[in-house]
Amino acid sequence: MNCAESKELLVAYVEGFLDGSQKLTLAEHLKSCRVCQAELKEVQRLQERLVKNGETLAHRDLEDEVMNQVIRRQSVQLKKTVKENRIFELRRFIMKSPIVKVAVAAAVVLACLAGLYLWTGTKSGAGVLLADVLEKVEQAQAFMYKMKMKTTGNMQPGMPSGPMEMTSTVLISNEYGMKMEVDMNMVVNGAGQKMKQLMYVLPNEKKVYMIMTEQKQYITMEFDESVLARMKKQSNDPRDLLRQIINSKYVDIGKSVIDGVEVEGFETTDPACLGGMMKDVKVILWVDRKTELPVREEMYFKMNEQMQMEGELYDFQWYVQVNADEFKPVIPQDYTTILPGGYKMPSASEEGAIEGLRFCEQLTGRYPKKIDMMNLMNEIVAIKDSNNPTAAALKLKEDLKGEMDKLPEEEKAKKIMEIMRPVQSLGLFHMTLVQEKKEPAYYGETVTPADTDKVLMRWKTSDNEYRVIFGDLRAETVTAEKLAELEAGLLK
Amino acid sequence: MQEMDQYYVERCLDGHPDDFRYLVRRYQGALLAHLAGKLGNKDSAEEAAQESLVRAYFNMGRLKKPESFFFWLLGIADHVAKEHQRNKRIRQQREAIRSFSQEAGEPELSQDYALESAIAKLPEDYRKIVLLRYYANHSCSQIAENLVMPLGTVTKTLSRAYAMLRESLQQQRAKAYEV
Repeated sequence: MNCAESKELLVAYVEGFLDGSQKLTLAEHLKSCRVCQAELKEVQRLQERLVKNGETLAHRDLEDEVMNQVIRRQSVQLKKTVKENRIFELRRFIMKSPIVKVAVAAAVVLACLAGLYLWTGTKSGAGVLLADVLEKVEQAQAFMYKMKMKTTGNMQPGMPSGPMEMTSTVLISNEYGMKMEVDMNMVVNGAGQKMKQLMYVLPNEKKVYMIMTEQKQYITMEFDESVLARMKKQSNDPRDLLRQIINSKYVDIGKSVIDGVEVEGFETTDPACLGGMMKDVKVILWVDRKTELPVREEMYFKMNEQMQMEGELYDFQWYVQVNADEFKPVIPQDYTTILPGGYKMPSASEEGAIEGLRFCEQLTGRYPKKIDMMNLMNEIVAIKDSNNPTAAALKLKEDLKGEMDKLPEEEKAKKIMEIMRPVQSLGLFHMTLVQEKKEPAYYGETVTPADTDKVLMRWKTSDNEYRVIFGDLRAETVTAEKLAELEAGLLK
Repeated sequence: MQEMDQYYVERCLDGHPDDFRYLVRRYQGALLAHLAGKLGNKDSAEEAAQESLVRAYFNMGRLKKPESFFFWLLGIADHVAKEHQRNKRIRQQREAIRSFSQEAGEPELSQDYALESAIAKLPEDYRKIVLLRYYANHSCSQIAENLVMPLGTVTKTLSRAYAMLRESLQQQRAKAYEV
């Protein structure tokens, strides 16, 4: 063995990898070669150094510190993902759910009907008396019309939702309620989707049915006296209508011809005619000059800054004959329900509104800035981005986390609807106040729970009286003078 | 050995965070040596090693080959080391501006910085083997298994790594005398 060969084997030698004969040959060479002996010393010294350094470093214990950090960061991350997931679920549910779309559609329909009444009864300069129109419409025990709606833009910034088109046939009966057949075309995640829905609003049963024929699914919802009372009042109480009419701002836009029928048009940009829910409202009502019945209603409005809607109510058939069977929902046996056990609709009452205010305050740490439905939803959804969530928000998340995982998909939807109910009640109550022109005012931007004597919300209850909800959520009826005093204090 | 890493990686991914400690135990020495050579400061190396391990844990889902956990970990450590160096430079610049007359205290070097920096300078294939052998306490046959190479190649590579380390250490000594 020469020196070069020997050097090749030194590392393997100190590492103990040489077999017997190799070891022997190497030992033989080493005995006689001082250079290789020195070389071996060097290799051994380096090996010792490596082993020693390795041992020192291995004794430096990172384990506890790393594990602590892992666990700490994991719990932070977990909370964050839970938060994101849940709220995201909530947002997705609110914005994408067929129920909500139908509910929005239904709200629009109801608002349009309210708008229809809002018009009627006003004296026009051109011969058609809207009062006469009202009278005739009220006489109709049942009527039908068709509706076309089209949306453009997104419900929420950054939310992918394409245009939605909806055509429906609506049958309304004073005796039985409303029946609506809806065909929806929408784009969800870039793919076209068709939906067929049958919706019944049955005041006698205090129930709403929604049947999705293509999905073979259905929903039942119950509403309470407060909603029913308002529904009745909106369509039947002439005194309320009169008040609406007096307050409505409209212009007579003159004559035109629709399908060979001579009509007269009235235009309003009063947001109240769509329940105060929408922005940039323009509604045109065309009335048959001869029969004095509505022929067409055109609507343009914005749901919010990103989403525009236009719609048309047409093909009105007044005085149609209906029978009770038409208002009996038929749900085939193989259909399943999205919300098992039904769902209770939010209540449009003062108590519901107070509960909603309390709920929002606990959840976000302050009263909502605005209480129209859209804005409320956005404020609640915004909890997701909150850097310092309140105890209630954390608890809600915990509750959701605990319960949601166990629940089947349908139950989740219901749970979320239930959680959101107080918020919806508040929005609904506000909507009816706007619709009924009860001079609602809301000061959530500045008033806090500590402001026990400041007006948080108020609305008119009679000629000289207002109902006031104070910062501490106590409600009181006050005179107009007293209210003026209270609100003057607010301005300071 | 290979399967063991994979096993713990999968355990972690299956929601058993506590099993990560076995991987920490197994590779902390190698990781420290790797980082100490790059950073030259005991405390920064320790800090960076912790950070690397924590990051590895939270990015485990992205590890495509669980059996090569260690090399993936070294990649993360390189990244962390770069960040540390950048932060250190910024800190030093700031410090220099604040008190340019004062000498900054010498950072505490690790026990054998010369050796660690020599390891850091080794080509990757050689470095891996040295780290596994002396800092993760793998036997040569374990390394061969881990790296999927014949045992002979491992010993040859190790032998060459020795030569390179000696050369590098000698150069460092020479430089020290020059100064």
